[in-house]
Amino acid sequence: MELLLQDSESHISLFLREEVMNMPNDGFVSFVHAEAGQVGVAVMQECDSGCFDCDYNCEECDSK
Amino acid sequence: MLYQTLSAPMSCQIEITTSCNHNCSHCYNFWRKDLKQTDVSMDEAAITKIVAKVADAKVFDVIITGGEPLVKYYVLIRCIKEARKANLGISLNSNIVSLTRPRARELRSLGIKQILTSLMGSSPETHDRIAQSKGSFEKVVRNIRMAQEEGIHIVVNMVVSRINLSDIKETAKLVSSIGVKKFSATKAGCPGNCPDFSHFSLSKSEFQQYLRDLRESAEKLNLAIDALEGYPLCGIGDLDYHYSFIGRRCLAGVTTMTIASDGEVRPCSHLDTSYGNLLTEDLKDIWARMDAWRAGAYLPAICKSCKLLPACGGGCRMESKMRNGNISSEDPYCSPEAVEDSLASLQEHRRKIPEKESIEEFEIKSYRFRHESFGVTVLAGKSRAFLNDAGFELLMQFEVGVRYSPGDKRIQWGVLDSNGFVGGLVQNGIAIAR
Repeated sequence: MELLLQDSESHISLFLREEVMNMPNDGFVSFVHAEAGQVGVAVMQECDSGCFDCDYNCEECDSK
Repeated sequence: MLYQTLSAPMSCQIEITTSCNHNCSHCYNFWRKDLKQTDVSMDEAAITKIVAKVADAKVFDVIITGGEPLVKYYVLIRCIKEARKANLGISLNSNIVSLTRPRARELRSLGIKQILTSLMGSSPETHDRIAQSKGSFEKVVRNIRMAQEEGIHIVVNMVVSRINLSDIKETAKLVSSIGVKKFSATKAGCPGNCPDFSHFSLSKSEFQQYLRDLRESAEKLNLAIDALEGYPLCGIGDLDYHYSFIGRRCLAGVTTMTIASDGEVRPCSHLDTSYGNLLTEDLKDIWARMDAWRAGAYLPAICKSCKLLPACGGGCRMESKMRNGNISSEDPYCSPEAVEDSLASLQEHRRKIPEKESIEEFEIKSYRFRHESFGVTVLAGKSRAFLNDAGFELLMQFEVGVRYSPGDKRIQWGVLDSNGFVGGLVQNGIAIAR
């Protein structure tokens, strides 16, 4: 799989759906189904899930 | 189906009580009618049952909310303890008006590391007027400081309506001055019980002003900014400039759902329609009834064929329902005529992101996982990835915290390309390049 581009601040990874459709088995499943020509987003956040959107680097936090 | 069907939500909001010590004029709690308070709170038996069902379904995280959870403190503590016992990730939404130092200490000791709170303005005049609670502003500001002293990070959200639109920059300044590093501002959505929200709803031009003021505050104050709701990308305008608003989307019934204090379950906290009661039914049966949300069935036709749909999600269905009277209508902030410009600015933003150099070494982050019909959902903090069986078999070979290189001889790579797989893990936030 070609390394996709990522914005470290907004955590947005963009790809063109055609690229994904032509990819070999890379171990990943596309979560959003899209038509050819549509622009996808690989990383998503729920509406109203700000409480999990932690930007702090707590040493004790398992998520980091 | 627009989205993969998960075996269960990834996160659930649990509304432990309907009671609140605020009476915010924009409150989305549909049960708050005519300013009258209702009080339906979970009891210990209900909490135990609900948390057990959520955990049995292998939901990863719960967000405890209300109403205002702190006004039912013993119910809140019971809920946290049950969720901890079940190894669920826990977060808390609270106006923190009744947060005392001993309570902050107890919450921190129970693993609450972050609270999402609300501040509606930079002065008591604005905040207290909107909260309809005299003295609230002083308490919230004081308690933000106190919570931070006790090691609880506070994320502040400002609900923006016509009443406080002009106060975004000053509120951001205040938030920054008291040591908060992340400032969310979210436009007020029309509540489910409100026949006329016109005094509060932002117009399209006011919506643009809100986005600009927030962006400018971020740049000036070096604040991380966010909005807690997904906006239609075509209505945002220049996505290269407003990139902070790209990531949110409505995932009601897709990755998340809300459980009310009486056990009724809704795909979205703003929605007043129940899909079943968790006190009497299985979570997976209720989840299965939300198929239409995963299929994108409530999207307007113009969104279904839009080039931006996979990146956008089509805005807020509840805003469409409440403002237009039709859940399948366009989000009021959509600008379909601007799709090409939005797409161009999205791609412009993409071009500016530097390409990552090739990965020489990497480490897998601590993660949780759950089996799905299509493979496995993996969650590492807020990062998520969806793997097929081959990908998961490969992931399972890595030890957390150990450095590997793509093609590492200790790993059986099988049919998968090592560079591609590792790149995907890093890009999805499951691994860190070293």
